[in-house]
Amino acid sequence: MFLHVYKYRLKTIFRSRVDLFWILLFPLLLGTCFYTAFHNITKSLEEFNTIPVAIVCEDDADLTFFKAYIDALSSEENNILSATYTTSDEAQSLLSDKKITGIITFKDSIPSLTFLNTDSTNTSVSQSILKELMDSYIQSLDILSNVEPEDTESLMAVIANLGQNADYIIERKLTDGNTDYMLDYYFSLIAMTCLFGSYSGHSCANFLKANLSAQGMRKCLSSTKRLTLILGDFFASCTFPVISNIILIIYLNYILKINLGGNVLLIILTAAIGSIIGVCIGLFIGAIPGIKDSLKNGIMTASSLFLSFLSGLMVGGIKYKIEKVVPIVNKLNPATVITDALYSLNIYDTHDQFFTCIAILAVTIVILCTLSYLMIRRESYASI
Amino acid sequence: MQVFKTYFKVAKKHLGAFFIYSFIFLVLLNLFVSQKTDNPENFKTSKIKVSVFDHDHSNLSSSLISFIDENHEIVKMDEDIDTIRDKMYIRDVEYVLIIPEGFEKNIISSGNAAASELAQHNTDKSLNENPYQLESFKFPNSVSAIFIQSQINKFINIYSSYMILGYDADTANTKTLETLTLEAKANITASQSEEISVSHVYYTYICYILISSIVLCIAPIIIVFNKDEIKRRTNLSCVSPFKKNLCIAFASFFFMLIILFLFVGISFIMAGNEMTTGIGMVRIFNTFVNAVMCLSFAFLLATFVTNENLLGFITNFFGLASSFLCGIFVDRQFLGKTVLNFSKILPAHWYMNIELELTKYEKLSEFTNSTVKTLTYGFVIQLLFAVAMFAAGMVISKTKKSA
Repeated sequence: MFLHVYKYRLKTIFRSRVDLFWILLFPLLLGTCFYTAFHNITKSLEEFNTIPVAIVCEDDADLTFFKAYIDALSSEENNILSATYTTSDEAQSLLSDKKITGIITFKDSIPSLTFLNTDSTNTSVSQSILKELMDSYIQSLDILSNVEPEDTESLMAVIANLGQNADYIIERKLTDGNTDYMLDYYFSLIAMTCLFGSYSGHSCANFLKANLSAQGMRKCLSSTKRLTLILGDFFASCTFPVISNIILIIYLNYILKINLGGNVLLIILTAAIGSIIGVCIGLFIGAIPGIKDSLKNGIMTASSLFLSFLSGLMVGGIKYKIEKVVPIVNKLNPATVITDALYSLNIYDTHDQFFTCIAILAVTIVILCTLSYLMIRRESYASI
Repeated sequence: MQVFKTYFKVAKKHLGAFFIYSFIFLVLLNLFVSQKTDNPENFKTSKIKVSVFDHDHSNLSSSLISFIDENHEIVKMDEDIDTIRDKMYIRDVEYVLIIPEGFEKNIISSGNAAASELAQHNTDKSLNENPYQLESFKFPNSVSAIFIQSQINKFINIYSSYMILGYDADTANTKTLETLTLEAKANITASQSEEISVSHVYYTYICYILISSIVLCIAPIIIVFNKDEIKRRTNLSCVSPFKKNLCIAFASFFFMLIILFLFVGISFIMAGNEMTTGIGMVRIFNTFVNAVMCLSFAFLLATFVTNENLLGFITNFFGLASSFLCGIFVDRQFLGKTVLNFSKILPAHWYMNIELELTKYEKLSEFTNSTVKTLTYGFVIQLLFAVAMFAAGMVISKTKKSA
């Protein structure tokens, strides 16, 4: 009988356009929007690009040493600068059009810089790098001024040391995972899809309670055990969001080629447990007596989006700010716990943190299921 | 008047959902506004968030750390790989430097060796036969890492140069710090004012909030009036369909104004004086035009959507997609040209055009001809969207009636 109930409930869900839209189509469309908006963002924000610069020489100073320095920085090997020697007016025009990062004005054998005000972090760091390079030039001149002009050997040795472009720092591997923080948006998207399982849970509660739907009335008259009915409906309600999440993960990972980090099977496991949480939330809200259906829908949409917002769906990094102020909110918010589990799969070598998150989700499921079961188990209705 | 009253009776039944949405949206708005950042007025060298773990505890390592501290923000944390990963992933730390034990000893011995080679007239020998003295954690090809690494390498280069010149360790250290104080002059040219104001942040995000709140509050009421049973009953009454539709339109407009006043009122509380300027008034007018477009969208949806869930789906998708593609949630500088060109088919693109143009000015009198043109285009195109949606709604409803 369990399989019979399961099969027919599943058929109902697959025929429900609303569930299909919210749980399957909406996350796929939003994932595509995220991809369109974010796939270039980290590169623009954090990665180094050759710095375009205009050089203006305001007097007849000897440019030989400075030009050699700029040429070394612009060489194919270093590729730090892309220099254009030009006039002051042309340089100002290039700067105003944001075609260059800054202007280097070489006057009295000393370089000075002109920048445009910027609100871009990347441009600001590029400006700082440019200033750093000019600082280095001035500082190198200062070191050379300590050498007696006749002492050519020392002079050559210092020039060789300063010009060798040595790197004293070796890089250690941070993680095997993906450190792109835009990934948080995709984790929140998966969490949101899990929470949208609440629509499925809500209709499950509707179909089980006689005072909410005709199907509920019919089911109450059935000779099948109440527990079998509840379990059959519940598992069918969970199946659809789990399938939707699997489709979403496959779409993100293999079609949009977003590296979600971590083992795909464990990501799917997290999404599956998260989907059950979503269904339980819907079941719980759906089982609350005395609230209108439209209001329940409103509560579910708004709460799913709000919890997803708190996990970073709309403003990246918000959960870390919450963690600093009210960490308990993150522990109670299932969307954040789901994103934490996905994050730990991506970043850490061990699975301790991951299993802690899964345990929190499991406890939440048990609490919500118990409360919902208490509301929808054997109920007697007054004779009218 | 009867239809008008009935409209608000139905609206009253939807007030629960309206208050939930409004409350959550206001919380979201406040959180969005609190995310705002300040823009520097003078050139300041960027400060990178760095963590340094010193295992050497020498004079040289202390000098290096104080040099980093002067130029960047040192963040303290435990030297544990998972903590480093956590802090770096959320960009609380952008670069981690590990100074190993024996760092100073190695540099001094290499320096002395290079100096003695020089004394033996061998200028080919330099300090760095084995240059890897320090260790780091960084993001691949990160601009911040390139910046700070160039400074650290420069510090060691200058120090080693003084060592090569025969100075002892302490003098080389002092002279290095002296040399590092020399800087190139840097100026910022006066560009357009791009200071981020509270009103700008508020009126950027309100575009997302408005579409959700207006459509999700008004469309369900119109859907009730469009239900076949109710429509048939109203058609039997003495109120003409034209008058009924006019009343519904007027009531919807009135309800839209209430929602608009609520959000605009809050902006006066949050942004204060910014809203009483001419620019503030243009922002309000832009929001009003956008609200009219949202109302038309609500009308259009109400003509063919009968299910509130589907309504929620379409509205949320439209709102979120507009926000991501038109530069509300993501700064436009990060969106590709194709995305920006595509977003022109969305009304939010034109709303944001006006909003971004307004950030350049403090007074209406400063407006240039091109600004007036941008503003006019923005208003007209948003209104055209409103007219197009309203017309589409009318066509659908006529088609339904004739069917």
